[in-house]
Amino acid sequence: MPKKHRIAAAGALAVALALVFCFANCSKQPAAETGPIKVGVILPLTGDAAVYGKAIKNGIELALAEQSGDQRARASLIYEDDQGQAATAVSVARRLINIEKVPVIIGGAQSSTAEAIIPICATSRVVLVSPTATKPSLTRMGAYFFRLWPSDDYDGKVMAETAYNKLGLRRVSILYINVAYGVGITEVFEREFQRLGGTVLTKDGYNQAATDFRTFLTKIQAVNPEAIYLPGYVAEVAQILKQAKELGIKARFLGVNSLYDPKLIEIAGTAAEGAVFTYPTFDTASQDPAIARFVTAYKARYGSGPDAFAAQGYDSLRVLLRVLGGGAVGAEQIRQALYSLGRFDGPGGFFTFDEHGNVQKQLRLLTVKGGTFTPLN
Amino acid sequence: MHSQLLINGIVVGAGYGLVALSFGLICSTAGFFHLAHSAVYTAAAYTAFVLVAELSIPAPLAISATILGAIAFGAAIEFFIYRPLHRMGSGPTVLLLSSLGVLVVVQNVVSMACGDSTQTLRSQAVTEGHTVLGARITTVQVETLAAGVLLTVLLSVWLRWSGSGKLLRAVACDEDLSTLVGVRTNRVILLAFAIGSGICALAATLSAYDTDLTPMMGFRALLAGIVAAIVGGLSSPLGAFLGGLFVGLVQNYAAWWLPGQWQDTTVFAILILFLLVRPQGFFGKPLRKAAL
Repeated sequence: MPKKHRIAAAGALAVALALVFCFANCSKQPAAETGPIKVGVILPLTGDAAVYGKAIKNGIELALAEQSGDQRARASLIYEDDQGQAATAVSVARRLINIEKVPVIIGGAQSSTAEAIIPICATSRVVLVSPTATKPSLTRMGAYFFRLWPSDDYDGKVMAETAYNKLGLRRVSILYINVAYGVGITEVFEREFQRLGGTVLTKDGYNQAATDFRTFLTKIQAVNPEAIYLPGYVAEVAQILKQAKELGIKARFLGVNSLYDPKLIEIAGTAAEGAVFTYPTFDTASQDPAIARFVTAYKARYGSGPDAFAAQGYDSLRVLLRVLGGGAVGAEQIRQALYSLGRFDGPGGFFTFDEHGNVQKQLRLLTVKGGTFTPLN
Repeated sequence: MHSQLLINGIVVGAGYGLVALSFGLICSTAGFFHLAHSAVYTAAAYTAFVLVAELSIPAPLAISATILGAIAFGAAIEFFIYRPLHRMGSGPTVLLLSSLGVLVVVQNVVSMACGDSTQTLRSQAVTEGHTVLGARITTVQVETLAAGVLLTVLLSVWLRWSGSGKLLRAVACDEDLSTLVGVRTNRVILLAFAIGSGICALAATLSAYDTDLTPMMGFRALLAGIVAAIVGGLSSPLGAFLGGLFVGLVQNYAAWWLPGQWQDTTVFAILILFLLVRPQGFFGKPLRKAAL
């Protein structure tokens, strides 16, 4: 190719590229002004966590179908599948931010994927709303992050208040699982409980997958607490409850939301009776009109009842539609509107956001009675 | 409280002791670390689980069937995997690696078939343990302790005085020399695998009744069992059982005096200490040079 032709070809290419960019921008600009606002959705739609991702998606779709006719309060969704993998989440988040130019993303359903995309959203100034990520440190990672499921350590705070004020307990021991989750909750519980005036007599950590807790329990028995707080997962905690009963320990047991699992009753059996724990509210049998309406609508659309994940997905989009309807345009306004949301009622319970984007919501108190989970009165 | 601590240690130790003496029997006879022993342990526990919890077969019958099954499984591993490798001239290292392979396969098959979450074969309600000297002990724990003592005595007597027991000790002492004087070493080793696997299955079933089942249970039990066997001496059933008690007691006293996270660390500290200072254990004769 002669040199002159090469320059001409390069020039033509440059013009073509410029035209493409112009078209892209020209066609995008008015859409953002008048049409529905683009909302990116990143969920684990395939892979190990797909069952949760699909439930969340169902909830989001229901909220979308119910959106009002108000042009400002309308969203158009762009779905991406992160496969439950942090690396995939990063690449699809970049696509949504750089190509689709979304001002807000619902995503990071798992703590691991949330952790990967929070910094990207923060530097690009895009709001990220996670329906279900629980890791406490997430809200310290970026200023544009909000979550609708309570942070793990919120559980510890609520249980400390419940133990002191509602159950009238003053002297407790803590037996926690020695992983970040257990250590974090233990710190929060201990601080809150002592602030209220209670005493933490002993605290001890066990390794994950341990099966013999008798000496830990014997140690606790020696100081005779009124209650024993057990931050951990169901496998170990069920075993602890069983062995405590065999050792004749009569103290009350307090737990965390991971105990809301039929395995607890299967393994610990009668030893689980009376254990109290918190759970983010979602009760399909509730008489609350907001919940009953959601359950009916969900059943009508999908043929089966919703779970907590569907409720979280539903609430995620609805809370965004609320702030969009309030006139928020662009990421910055959406973010400010979320901070000053006030009380928001949804099937997942009423909630608000604190200054870090952590949801503040009522937790249900459950106990085991007659081998089933029942609300604590 | 201290009587409770003592009982906690002894009961856990008795469980370790059972694994240790069954492992020691195989290891000293065959001359290598049969890590797939933990696969036999896990497989036995899950067999008992399927028989008792899923098929509702009465416990005594199910446990007998489990033990017979484990004997067959242990013998099959020796017959179909180790023996051909041994015949091809493989040393203890190759046999160790192949046993690791068996372990990984069995553990993953169990986890695929029954899931990773905890399973339980207990059906009766959890009740308070019996009170002994101010401490609580459950029926399963008493059974574990009794089984440990009984099998230690039986195995010691058998090895000391019976003809087949003497052959086993001869092979353990020197396999080549035993072959030369006309001992059918393959049969003797097979016998060691059969008996060891049977005892292992009993230990696994008792443990399953006490602390339920996970696919990793065998590996954890064998780790403690190996430490106990090294502490007590691989070739002595009494040593292995007492080694188990020692490890159980140290582990529980450590949990009493130190923060709980150190419980596992203390076990391995004991192991390192013994390997450095007294590798043949309390009761063992010095290890043969071929035994890894």
